Amino acid sequence: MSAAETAKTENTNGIRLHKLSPLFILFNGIKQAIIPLLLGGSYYRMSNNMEHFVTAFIILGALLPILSYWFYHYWINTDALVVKEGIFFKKNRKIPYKRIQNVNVLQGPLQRILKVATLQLESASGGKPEAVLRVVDLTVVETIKHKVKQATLVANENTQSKQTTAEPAEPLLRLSTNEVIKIGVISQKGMVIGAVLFGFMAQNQAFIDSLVNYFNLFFTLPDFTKITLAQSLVYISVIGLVIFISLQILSIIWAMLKFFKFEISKQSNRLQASMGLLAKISATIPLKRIQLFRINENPLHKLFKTQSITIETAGGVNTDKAGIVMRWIAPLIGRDKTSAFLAQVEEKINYQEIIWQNIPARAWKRVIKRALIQLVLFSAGLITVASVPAIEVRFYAWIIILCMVPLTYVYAKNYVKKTAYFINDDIICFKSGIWFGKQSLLKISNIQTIEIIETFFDRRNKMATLEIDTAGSNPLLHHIKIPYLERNKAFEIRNFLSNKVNAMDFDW
Amino acid sequence: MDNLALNRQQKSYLQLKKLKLSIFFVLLALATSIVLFMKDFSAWVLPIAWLLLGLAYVTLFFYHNAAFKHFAYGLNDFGLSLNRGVFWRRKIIVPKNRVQHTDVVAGPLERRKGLASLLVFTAGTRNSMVRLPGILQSEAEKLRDLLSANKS
Repeated sequence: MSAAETAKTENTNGIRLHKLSPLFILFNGIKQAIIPLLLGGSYYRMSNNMEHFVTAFIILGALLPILSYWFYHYWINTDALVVKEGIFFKKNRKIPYKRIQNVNVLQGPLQRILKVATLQLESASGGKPEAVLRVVDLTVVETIKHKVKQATLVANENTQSKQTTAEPAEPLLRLSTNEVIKIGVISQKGMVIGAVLFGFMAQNQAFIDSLVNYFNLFFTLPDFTKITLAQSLVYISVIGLVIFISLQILSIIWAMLKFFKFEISKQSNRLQASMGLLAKISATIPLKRIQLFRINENPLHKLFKTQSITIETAGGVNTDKAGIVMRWIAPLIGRDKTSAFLAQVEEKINYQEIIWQNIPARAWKRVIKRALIQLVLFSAGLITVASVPAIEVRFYAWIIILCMVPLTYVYAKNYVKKTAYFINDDIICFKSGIWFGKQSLLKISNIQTIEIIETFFDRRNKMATLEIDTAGSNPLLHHIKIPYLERNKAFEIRNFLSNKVNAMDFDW
Repeated sequence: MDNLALNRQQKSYLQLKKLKLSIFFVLLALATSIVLFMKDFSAWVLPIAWLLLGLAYVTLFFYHNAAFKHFAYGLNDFGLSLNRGVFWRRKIIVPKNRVQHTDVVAGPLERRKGLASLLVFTAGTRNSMVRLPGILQSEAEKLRDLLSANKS
């Protein structure tokens, strides 16, 4: 930055956010605090002593956005964006355009009407975004986008001589409305939403009463304790159908809200994705930062011969709570198209040539033992419960447990069949899951640490588990953790990988 | 094949851990006794509390021994390798060029024995920090230099 500009930064007041900004900051605050607020609200109704506290809380809550708006300034300089924020603790941050990796734009329904957007800038550091401009005018978004693009173009020209830059590429994947509906049906997200709603309503006697009253307007509800078998069958099937259809509708609504007009395209070294019906999201993902590809296949996916692909990135794109979640690169893709799609995103991954290698066949004995032990533990729990005089466990509960015993055999055999891995010079892959198939694909250069875990049972059976840690990995989700490997094989793989990793530098 | 890690922690580290454990349990026993005295208690409550504490102490004492026995580390061609765990034996390899930075830390008690811990940070998640405690300060510094020297 030239001296004149530095002076400008210090002297001028900079640009304020959009005038409506406090409103959206408030909305965001409410969105994040919705659960405590609801809990507080219900508590408030119970006791009136909290009155002053709640009032103060509300006033403060309304005042804070205005204050933070008042103290938020930014400058769009030639080579950097300068942000000054904070009421008591001032934060003054300078973000050079060429260091900005992601420019994410989020537009809610109201924001779209008002032609404003939330802008989120991320650098390679991962973690929290460098700056979140909660609500600026769309022209500002375009200006910053342009500046970032220019800066990266210059940087690219310096390093790699002549690359065809910013070709308006044909999208890698574009979903039609039909496909988005299919995502809804496949995901069955409505089950989750429905379960939450049902749980909430079932707890609320007043709600049930008013619902019954409402139904009584249209037809008289029978006394369910005094109906014939035929009648009950009719009722069950009708209610079942209604629940089924509403779950499907909920699922489809979820998918529509999230994935409507999903489009992803590749621009030289980054992916550009946009999606959403009411809240529109557009995000960029630098290819370098993708650590792991995950392919999901649930039973409905199998029925439609499709899959979905998600990614894990090193920080940023999918870690920040307030930020934009962008981990889908293909919410729905035909099974036969996965290979071509992945090849375009990451050339090292040759999906078609993966030859899955199963874990040793003898592992089924260990799986069945584990399943049986779990069953025994569960039965023991049930027996304990049954020993309480007030509780009676019906006999068919025991029959179900007995029926589970042969099923463990099927489970164990299938487990071994469905759990497999693949390693070549560039990638390591792991898949597992009997019903919900998941595959993790990882470039060897993205490996951070390699671990071999031996439990007591492993040692007795001369087996081991191989686990790989990567940047930005979510420990709860499927990752490379190959169980029941032959001990020798596990060490062989580890040594192979260690050698490979040592020859490749980790490129952020 | 798998015996990459060869070096052991210092014996004095094990003694230090046991010392800390003993101090903790003495304090815990004292606190329990005081609390039980203040409340009215049956005569048999106190001995039972002591017995339970004693059992826990002995278990942890042997656990420390076992943990010490199964802990090993070494720097080799692959990088830093570390074996640890009593029930779940973990053998971790941190490749040299995946080390982001390293720290040598030593608490007051450790310093008196000339001990230190080496913390190795990676860009990973579960193993973003690999801890190598109970080695000599000089050894920790040597390892740190070797691990960071590799970074060009």
